[in-house]
Amino acid sequence: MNDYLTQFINELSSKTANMKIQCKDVPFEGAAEERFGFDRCYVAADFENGDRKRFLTLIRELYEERLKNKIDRAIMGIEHGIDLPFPLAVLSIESSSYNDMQDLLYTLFESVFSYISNNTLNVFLPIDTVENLEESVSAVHESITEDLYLKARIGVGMLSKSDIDLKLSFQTSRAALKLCSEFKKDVVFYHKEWLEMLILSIPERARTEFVRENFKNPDILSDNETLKTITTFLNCSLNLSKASRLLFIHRNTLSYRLDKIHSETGLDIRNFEDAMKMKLCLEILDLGQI
Amino acid sequence: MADVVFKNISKIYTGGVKAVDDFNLEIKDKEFIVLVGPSGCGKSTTLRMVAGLEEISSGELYIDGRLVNDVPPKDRDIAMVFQNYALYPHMNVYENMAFGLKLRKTPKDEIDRRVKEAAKILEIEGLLNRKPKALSGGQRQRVALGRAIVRNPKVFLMDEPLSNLDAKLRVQMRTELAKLHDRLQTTFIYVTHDQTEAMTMGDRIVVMKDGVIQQVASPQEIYNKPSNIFVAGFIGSPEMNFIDGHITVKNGKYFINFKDINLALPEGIAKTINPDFINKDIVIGIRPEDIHDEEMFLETFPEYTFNAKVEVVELLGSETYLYLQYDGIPLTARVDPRSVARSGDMVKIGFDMNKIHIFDKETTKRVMD
Ligand SMILES: Nc1ncnc2c1ncn2[C@@H]1O[C@H](COP(=O)(O)OP(=O)(O)OP(=O)(O)O)[C@@H](O)[C@H]1O
Ligand SMILES: [Mg+2]
Repeated sequence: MNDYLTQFINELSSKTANMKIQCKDVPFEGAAEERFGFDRCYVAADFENGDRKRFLTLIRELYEERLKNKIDRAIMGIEHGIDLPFPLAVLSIESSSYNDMQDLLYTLFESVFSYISNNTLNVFLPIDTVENLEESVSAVHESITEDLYLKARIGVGMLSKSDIDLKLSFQTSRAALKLCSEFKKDVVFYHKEWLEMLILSIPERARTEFVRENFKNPDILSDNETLKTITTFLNCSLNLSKASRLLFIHRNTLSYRLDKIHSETGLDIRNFEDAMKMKLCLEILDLGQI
Repeated sequence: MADVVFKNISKIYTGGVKAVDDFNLEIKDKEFIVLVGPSGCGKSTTLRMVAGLEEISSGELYIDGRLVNDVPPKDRDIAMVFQNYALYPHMNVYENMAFGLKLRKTPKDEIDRRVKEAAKILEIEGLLNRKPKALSGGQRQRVALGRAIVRNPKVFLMDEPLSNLDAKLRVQMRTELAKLHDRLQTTFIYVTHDQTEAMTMGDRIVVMKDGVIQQVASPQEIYNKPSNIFVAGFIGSPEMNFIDGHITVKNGKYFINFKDINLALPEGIAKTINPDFINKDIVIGIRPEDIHDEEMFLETFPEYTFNAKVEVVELLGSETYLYLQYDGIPLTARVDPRSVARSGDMVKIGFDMNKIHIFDKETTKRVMD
């Protein structure tokens, strides 16, 4: 349990004379498991009248409202030293309904906190590594489609290691969400899109010029097989054997195709510099506006 | 278990893209049907309309006899499997499979029964306590399939579920999926842009292009009797050769003619050709494996042969591709690796005229049986 929650509960208990509330990390006599913000804890509330469940909901809402305000201020850079379970990922989810989505997140993760802001769901997910983050977010997107039957877009910001990063994490998650529509992807991880970000910062004319100068015949990319050959070869770090295995073709067939690509585009992508030019041209063309 | 019926289904996205155009198809109960076609032809859109993820612009969709256009997705009794196969790293295999049911507030013992049953079908009972990190690629795929199986859906929808796997695993998983289909006895609708995958998996294949169905038939029929030039070129690798030409008749005998070449058509084939196309512009189709350079063939069928120039010889170990040219017409032949052809050579080749395909040049439609 974080200090913050302990403090909140103590404060609450002291202000309400006619009810006693006890909250611990471990189960104890008469306590039920409850979720408050990022925490799951065991709560026993003892009060004279009213409905216990409604009372607990009320405290949760009160606590989470405060937590949300604190996070909002941290994101704006007004509040410092906020105590959250770092490392923390910030996700921006855009969908037509968030009702079941929060339930989904709470069923999935032991610790997570989310709230709706400007028609977008802000999700704060404690997670240890970038690798787990990528895997988890992809799984969340699939669960949203497969279990809730909703279309959703998710922008994932840079991982926050401490409260100092929180603002950047939030901003990058919003930027990533924007990139979803630009890239026509459902999930965008900001940390993965460095090349796209770099290219977007180059003036459009310079981009067009670059492709025109370095790539003879962009029309060949409309052939699916050719495009797949190129991207697979690049993704395999220019390794012929590996790429031919992935493409399901013989090494010689791949060599033959690369020769053909060389003669048609002027780029021999077995050579590192040409491969780099190819990669840049592909990204530029992919981002459109040419 | 359910049949799925598409009646005049169309999808127009906001912005005006017509992704699916007057789609008509009856998928039988327990059938394994594969939608295949190039990128952007509307395969995923079709699948997503069945799932209820995309609204149907016009037409009617029936699942198990019930009109589902306005039935919310969660009540359609379908399960989807996508290409990512992402699993939650913090949950073990059991929890990853159980999660969807837990969310639906399914009773614990029911969840347990279903997860164990699915694990048995998928032969992953021994993995239930493992975390995804400790699984191989193929095992992960199976767990992801398990997630769908525990839902007991009437229809499985799969959108390129194998496309992220390397070639070897992909081949293995194709067989696994076919076996799974046998065991589950459920309707499968499977989307892929890979024609080899389509040919090896489906009971029937639906070939699509620009949102329009081109042909629906068994893999054999699609391969042997493609209904138009698009299907003929899309299915089969290397691609079928196409040559502009004519059908001529001399003394009651049929020939195909291109450039200065006339090759006799066997009577059995000639009979199946629509006579309206004699002397009309047609396109001759011949698959690379139906072009021969071996002595045996050339001697047996001298009337099917002519000389062509070898441009490139590609040795692939178990077979050899010859890239040939005849008077400006490029031809690819798939021949025995013992072939002695060298680039630059003039060689004698023969078309297996029993395997010839003829299409109307104007409509691109097949004009023979
Ligand atoms: N949400 C959308 N809004 C507008 N147009 C879309 C949308 N989704 C798909 N399209 C368009 O509809 C057409 C069909 O797309 P679809 O995704 O169904 O193709 P596909 O056959 O699955 O292709 P692929 O093999 O690339 O997955 C394409 O022209 C595509 O650009
Ligand atoms: Mg698709």
